[in-house]
Amino acid sequence: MLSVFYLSGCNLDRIPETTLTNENFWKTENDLKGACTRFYNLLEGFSHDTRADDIIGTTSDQTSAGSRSIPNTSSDWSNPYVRIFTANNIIEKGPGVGIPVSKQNRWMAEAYFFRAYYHFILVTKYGDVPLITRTIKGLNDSLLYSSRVSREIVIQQCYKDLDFAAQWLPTRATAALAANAADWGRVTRSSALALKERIGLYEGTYSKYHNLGSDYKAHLKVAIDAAVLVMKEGHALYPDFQKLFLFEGEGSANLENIFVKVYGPNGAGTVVHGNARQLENGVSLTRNMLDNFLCSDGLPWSKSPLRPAVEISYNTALTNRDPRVGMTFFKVGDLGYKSATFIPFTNQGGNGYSIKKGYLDSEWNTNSKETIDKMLIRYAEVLISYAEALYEYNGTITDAQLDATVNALRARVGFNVKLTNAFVTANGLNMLDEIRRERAIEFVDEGLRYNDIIRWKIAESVLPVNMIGTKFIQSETTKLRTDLKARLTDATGKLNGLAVYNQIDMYVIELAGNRKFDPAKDYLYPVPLNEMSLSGGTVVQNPNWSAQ
Amino acid sequence: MIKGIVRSQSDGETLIGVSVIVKESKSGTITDSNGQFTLKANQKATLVFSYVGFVSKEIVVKGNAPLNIQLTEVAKNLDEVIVVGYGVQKKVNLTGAISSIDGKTIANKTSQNVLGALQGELPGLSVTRSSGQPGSQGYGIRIRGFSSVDANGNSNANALVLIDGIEGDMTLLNPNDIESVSVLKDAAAASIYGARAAAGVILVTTKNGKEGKVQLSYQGYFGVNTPGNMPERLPSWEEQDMINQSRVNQSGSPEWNAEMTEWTANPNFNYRINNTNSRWDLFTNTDWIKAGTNKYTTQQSHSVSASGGNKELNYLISGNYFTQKGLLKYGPDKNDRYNFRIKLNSQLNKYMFLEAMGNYEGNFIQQNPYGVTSSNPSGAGNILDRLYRIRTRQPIFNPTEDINADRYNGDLQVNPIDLMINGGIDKNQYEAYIGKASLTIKDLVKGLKVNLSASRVNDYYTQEVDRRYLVWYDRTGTGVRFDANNPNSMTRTKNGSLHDVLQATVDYDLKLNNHAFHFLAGSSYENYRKDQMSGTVKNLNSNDFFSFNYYDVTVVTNTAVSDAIEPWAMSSYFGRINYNYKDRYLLEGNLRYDGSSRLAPGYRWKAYPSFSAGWRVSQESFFDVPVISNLKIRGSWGQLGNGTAFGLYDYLSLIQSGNQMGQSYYYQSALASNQKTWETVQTTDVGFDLGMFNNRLSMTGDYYWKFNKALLATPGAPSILGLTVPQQNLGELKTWGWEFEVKWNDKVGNVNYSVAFNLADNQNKLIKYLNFNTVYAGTVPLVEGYPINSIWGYKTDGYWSSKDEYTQYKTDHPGYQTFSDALISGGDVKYVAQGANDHLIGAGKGTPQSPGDLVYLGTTNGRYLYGLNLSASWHGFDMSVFFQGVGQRSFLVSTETLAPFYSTANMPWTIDRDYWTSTNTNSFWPRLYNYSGNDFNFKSSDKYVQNGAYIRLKNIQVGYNVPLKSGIIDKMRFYVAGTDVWEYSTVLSVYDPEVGNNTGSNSYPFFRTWAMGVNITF
Repeated sequence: MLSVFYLSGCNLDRIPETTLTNENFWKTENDLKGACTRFYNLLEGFSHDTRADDIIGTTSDQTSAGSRSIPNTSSDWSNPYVRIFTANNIIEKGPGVGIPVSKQNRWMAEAYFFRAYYHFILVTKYGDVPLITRTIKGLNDSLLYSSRVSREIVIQQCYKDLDFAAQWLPTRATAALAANAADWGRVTRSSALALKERIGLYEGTYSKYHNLGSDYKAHLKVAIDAAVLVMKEGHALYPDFQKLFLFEGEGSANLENIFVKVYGPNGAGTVVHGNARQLENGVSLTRNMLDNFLCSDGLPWSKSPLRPAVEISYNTALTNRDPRVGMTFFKVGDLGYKSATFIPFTNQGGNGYSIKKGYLDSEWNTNSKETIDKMLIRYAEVLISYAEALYEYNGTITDAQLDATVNALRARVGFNVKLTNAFVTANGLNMLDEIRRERAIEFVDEGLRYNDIIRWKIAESVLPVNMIGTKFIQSETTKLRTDLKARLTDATGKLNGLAVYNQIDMYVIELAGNRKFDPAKDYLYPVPLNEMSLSGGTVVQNPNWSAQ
Repeated sequence: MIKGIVRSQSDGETLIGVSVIVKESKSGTITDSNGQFTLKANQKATLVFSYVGFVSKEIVVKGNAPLNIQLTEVAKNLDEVIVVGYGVQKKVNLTGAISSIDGKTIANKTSQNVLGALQGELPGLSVTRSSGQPGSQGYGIRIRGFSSVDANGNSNANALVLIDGIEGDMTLLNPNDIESVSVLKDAAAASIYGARAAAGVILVTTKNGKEGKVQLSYQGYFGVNTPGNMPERLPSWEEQDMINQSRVNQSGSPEWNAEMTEWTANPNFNYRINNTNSRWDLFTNTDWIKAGTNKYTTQQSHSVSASGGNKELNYLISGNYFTQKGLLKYGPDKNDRYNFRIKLNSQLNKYMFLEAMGNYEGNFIQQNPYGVTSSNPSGAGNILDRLYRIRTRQPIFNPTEDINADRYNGDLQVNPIDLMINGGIDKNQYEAYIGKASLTIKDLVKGLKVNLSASRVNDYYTQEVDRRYLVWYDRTGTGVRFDANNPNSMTRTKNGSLHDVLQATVDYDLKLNNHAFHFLAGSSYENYRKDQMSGTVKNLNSNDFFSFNYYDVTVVTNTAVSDAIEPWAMSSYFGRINYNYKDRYLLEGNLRYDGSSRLAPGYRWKAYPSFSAGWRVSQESFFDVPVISNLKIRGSWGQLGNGTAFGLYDYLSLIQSGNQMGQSYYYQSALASNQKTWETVQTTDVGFDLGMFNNRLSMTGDYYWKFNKALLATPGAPSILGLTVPQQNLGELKTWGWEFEVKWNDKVGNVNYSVAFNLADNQNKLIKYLNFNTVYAGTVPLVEGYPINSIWGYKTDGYWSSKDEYTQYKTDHPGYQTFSDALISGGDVKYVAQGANDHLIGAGKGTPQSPGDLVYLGTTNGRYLYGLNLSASWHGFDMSVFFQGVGQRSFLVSTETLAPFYSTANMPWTIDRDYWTSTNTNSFWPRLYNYSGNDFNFKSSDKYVQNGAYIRLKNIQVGYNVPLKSGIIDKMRFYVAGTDVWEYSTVLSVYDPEVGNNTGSNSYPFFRTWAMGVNITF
C-alpha cells in the first residue's frame, strides 16, 4: 500500500522562467524607462480626421454626417484608460525603484505627461469623464465604479500633472544633444508646456462658447502663460513649409518639433504608417476648406476682387491665393500621386481636392511601410494658439503680437500681406475670424479642425451643409460628364433643384439634406453602452443620446 | 478428410462462412452456402469453429464420421465488458452513463481521422469541425454540451482523452489501432478523473497482441475528394454591372460607363493602355475559382499490422500512412500522417504481468503562409478568400506587351495564383514519441492487484514559415500596384515538451456470500514542461534561400527572437468502492483529490466525490416478463472539476514586453487573480438500460442536469480599469439534456440487418454572470438568463419601397428613425421597432432587460443531434448507410461576407444576384450599395440568421468478403465508401451547414469523399 502514496511528496510549485513579474521588475532605472517606452509604442500618430468639414473620406464620416449611433464599446473610451493605467502604474512603482529622485522623477514625468494627454483627449470627446489618478486594484475597488467627474476637475488635474512633467522633463536643448539621439521622440519640457497651452485654450474657449460657467479666463491665462514659457525654450519655425512635412523636417534639428510620433527606422521601418496611400485613395479636401484660404491680397475669397466670377479651370480657384494653397492642394499640371500628372477626377481618391501637403512619392512606393514622423504638436500651433488666447482673453491683440504669431506663419511661406488691426478695420474684417482662419489653413489635415469647431461652437453651422468637391472641366479630365452629371451643379449652381454653390459644374460630394448636427447632443460623444451598464449605473449618458 | 455441417443452436439454421481452423496446423476453411465444410486434418486434430456473433467452439476430432456442430449465439450485451476509469466493468453492472463503440466501426470509415469517424455515432458526444483544410479541420469534441465557457462563448473545458491511459489527441491516431472507445459522460463514470473530467472523459483502448498464429493484416483505401458547398463567381460583365449599380446608389455615378462595362463581355477585347495613369484597363473574364482550385483531390490510407506470440510473450506491431491533398491547385496544401505502434505483453510469472508500449505519431501539414497570423491560422483560407473575392475582370497574366518580368497581373488585387505558386510555404511538423510500461502484481494476496505504471510523451513541434516577397508593378514597371510578404521573412518555431505520468493503483476484490465488493485506491503525479524558442529574420538576401545565416543584419529590427517555458504539475489521489448484491443492487462511490501548480497556494487542492446506484430489475425473482431480458434503472450524482482555462501563473502580475524601434518596453496588461480556483461541475444523471427479445432490441436512455457553480467567467469591468480582467469563479451555468439510443439486430432469411438510432438533446442557460450583462446585434457569448452564444438581432419586415415611403412612415410615426437615416431608399431593409414606433431603432440600453428593438433569435448551440445507422449483410456482402444531423441550430455569417460590396474590393457571388430592384421587390438581398463598411442593411436580424439544421448522409458503404477456400489469405474484403456525400439544409448555399458561427469568405469548404478500399488478413 505504501507504493500508492509514494507520490505524495511531489512538489507543485512552478515559477515563471520566461516572464517577468511585478516582484522581479521595477528594480532599475532601465526598467522605469522601459515602462515609459510603452507610451510611445501605444502613441497614435497618422490618421486623417474626417469628422470636420475640411477633409472628406470616400464614404461619409458618421460623426461628420451626424449619423453615428451609440456604440456598445468604443476604443475612444477604452484606449485612453489603458494608457492612463500605464501612467498610474509607473507613478506608483517609480518611488520603489530606489534611484535618485531626479532620475526617478525624470521618468515619472513622462507618465504624468501622458496621464494628462489622455485625460484631455477623453474630455474633448466626452466632456465629464471618470478621473483616474491611481491604479485600480481589482474589481472590488470602488474607484472602478466612479462616476464621471466634472471636466473642470479633470482639466485642473491635467494642469497639475503637466506642471510636474514640465518641472522634471529634459529641455528641448538637452533632448537635442547627440548623447540623447537614441531617445529622440520622447517628450520634453516643451511638450508638456505646449500641451498645457493646448488644453488651456481648448477649455477656455469651450467654456466661453458653451457657457459652462467655469472661469474661462483662468484657462486662457493658463494657455498664455504656458505659451510664453514654450517661447523661451529655443524653438523656431522651420523655414520651408512644404519640406516641414517631409523627411527634411524630421529630428531635433528642426526646432519646430515639439511633440512627435516617431516612425522608423527610416528605410527599414518597423513602426510604419500608410499615409501616402491614404492621401491618394482615402481622403481629399473640400471646397468648403479651400474657401477659407485668403486671396493673395490678404482678403477672404468672399471679399476679394481677385475672385473670378466664373471659374474656367480647375486651377482658377487655386490661383492668386495664399501660397499655402499651392503647398496644400494639387493643381492640374502638378506631378501628382505616383509622379503622374495630376488629372482631376481621374487619378485621385475622393472627389474633393487632392492633398499635396505631406505627400512623398518615395513613401508611396514603400507600400504602406512609410516612416516619415508625425508632428503631434509643432511650434506653429504654440504661436497661433497664443494669438487666439490673447485675443480671447483681452478682447484685443496688438500688431506686435500679431507679427510674432500670425504674421510669422505667413512670412514663412512668403505670404507678405500682414494681418494688422488697421487691415482688419479697413476691410471690415473680424480679428477673431482672421486668427481662426490662420489656424484652419496652417493646420489643414493635422487633426486640429474638429476640436476647433467643437470648442468654437460652430459645428452646427459648418457640418450640416453641402460638402462641395472640385470644379469639373471636361477638357481637364478623362472622366465623362455623363458619369458625373448626377452630382454636378447646373448653371444656376443648383443640384436636384436645391441651391448648392454659386458656380456651375461643381461636384457635390454630399448634400446638406443628408447631413445633420444636433447641437443638443452632438457636441459630445455618446458614452458606450457597456461602460454605463458595467459601471452599475454610476456612469450616465451624455445629454440627449438616450435612444429610448 | 473431415466433413461436417455447422448450425446455429437456437434455430438450427445452417451457418455460412464459419471459419474452421485446425488448431495444430493453422490450416483451415470456411463453411459453404449449405453450412458444410470439408478439410484435411489428422484424425485426432482439434478444430476451432469461430463465427461473428457466436461463441467459438473447439472440437477434438474422433474418427471420420461427419461432424454436426452447433454454435451458441453470444448473448448480446450480457457479457460485454466496458472500459471504465482505471479498469473494466461488465456493461450490465454499470451504474454510470457510458457509451462505447468498437474499433471496427471506426476503422471501417474513410474519415480523415478518428474523430471524424465518431461524428454522430454516440449519443451525447458531439463532434464538430470548422474547415476542410487538410490537417487543419479544426475538429472539436463536446460531451453533453457546455460544461464551462469562456468570454468568447467557446467551450472552456475539453474532454479528457486518454489513449491507453495517456493523454493524447485522437486526430493523430491510427484508426486501425483502436480496440474500443468509451465515453464517460456523467459524474459517476468520470469523477475518478476529478479535476480533469468536467467535460467528460474519452477512454481509447488500443489493440493488444494475440496469442497464436502470426496474423498479418493490411487495410488500405484510395479516396477521391470533391469540395462541398462553396461560392460561385459571377462573370465580369455582370460583376461590373453590379459594381456600377452599387456606386450609382451610393454616389450617383457608376464606376464605369456603359461602354466600358460592355467591353468586359467582349472576349476579343481584354485590355488597353490607360493613358492617364501607368496602368492597364482590364476587361477580362477570369474564372478564378476554376483557375485556382482542384476539381477533385485525393486521399489515401495504408495500414499494416502484425501480431502473434504466446502466453508468456505476445506482440502487436502496426504502422499507418495517411495522406490528403488540398483544394488549392498550386503550392503547398496537404497533410501527411504517420503512425507506428508496438505493444509487448508478458506474463513474467504467476503473479506478475508486464505491458510495454511504444508509439510514434507524426503529423505534417503544409500550407501557404499568406496572411497567417495567430488569430487567422489558415493561409489556405486567405488564398481562397482572394479567389472568391478578386475582380473577375483582372486577368491572371499580364498583357503580352507588358514590360514586367513577372508575368502575373496584380493590378486590381494581389494575385492569388501567383501567391499560391510563389508566395512561400508554411511547414508544420509535429512528432510525438510515447512510451509506457506497466507492471501488474496480482494475487499475492487473494483478490489484491497492484499496478504501477509510468509513461512519457515526448513531443517535438517545428514550424517554418518562409514568406517570399512578391510585388506587382504597374504597366510601366515603376509604380508598385500591390505587394505581399513585404519584406521577405522566415520564422522558425521549435518546441519540445515532456509529459510524464507516474501512477500507482491497488485493486481489491472481496466477496462475502452474496455481497461483492471491489476497492480501488490510487495516486498519480503528472509533470509537464514545454520549452519553446522562436526566431524571425526579415529581409533575407534571397527570396529563394531561407536561413538565419543570410539576412540584412544592419537593421536591428530585422531580427526577433523569443522563448517560452511552460511547466505545470498535478498531483492526485483517488479511490472507488463498488458494491454488488446478487447482481441486483449496485452501488458505487468515487473520490478524487487533485492539486495543481497553476493556482495560488491555498487554492490548489480540491476533492471530487460521486455516488451512483443501479437496480437490475430483471434480476429480481418477482420480475417475470419473458420478452424483457434485461432492465436496469440507474442514477448518479457527483462533482467534477475543471481547470482548462487556468494560465500557468494567473495569480501573479506578469510583465509583458516588446520592442519599439530597438528599445524594449514593458507593461502589465492583465489584472492578477490570486483567488481563482477550480470550477466545480455538479452532475446528476438518471437512466435506464433495456434489453428485449434476447437483447435483439436494446435501448438506453438518460436524462441529466449539471451545474457549474463556480464558473470561471471574465467579469465585464468598466474600461477605466485599463487592464484586461482575468477570469474568476463568479458565474453559474446550467446544462441539461437527454439521450436516447435504440438498436435492433435481427435477420430475415440469410440477411442479417441492424438498425441503430440515437438522439440527444442538450440545452444550457447561464444562470449567473455577475450583474453585468450587455446585449447587442450579433452573437452575444454570455448573457445571464440566456443560453451561451445567444443571437440577438432586429425584426425585419421586407424592404422600404422608396425613400418617399420611408419619409412618409417617419411622418406617420414621429420619432421613428432607422439606421443611416439619410441614406434610406427603396430596397433598404425595414427594421421593425419593438413597442411604439416612435424612436430611433437601436439596442436601447443594451441590456437583456432593456434591449431596445433587439430580440432573441436563437443560439448557435445545436440541439437534437442524431445518428441513424442502417446495415445489412447477406452472404459475403455487407452494406451500411449512416445519416447524421442536427435538428435545431442558428448561426450568423460574418457581415463582411454577407454583404456584397461591404468592402469595396470584395466582389459578389452568384447567390447575390437576387438583389432588390423596383421590379424584383421580393428579393433575398437588399438593393446594391457601395457599403464601405456601413452595415445598415446587414444588421443581425431575423432576415439573416441561418437555420443550421441539417441531415447528412455521413457514410455509405458497400463491401464484399471474398470467399477464400484456403491458402495464405484468411480474409479479404473489398469495399466502396462515401463520406459526407449528401446533405440537406436551408443554409446559404455557399456554406456547409456545419460551419461555425460568424463564418466568413475565408472558410475552406468541406470535402465529399468516395473511396475504394481493401482489408486483407493473412
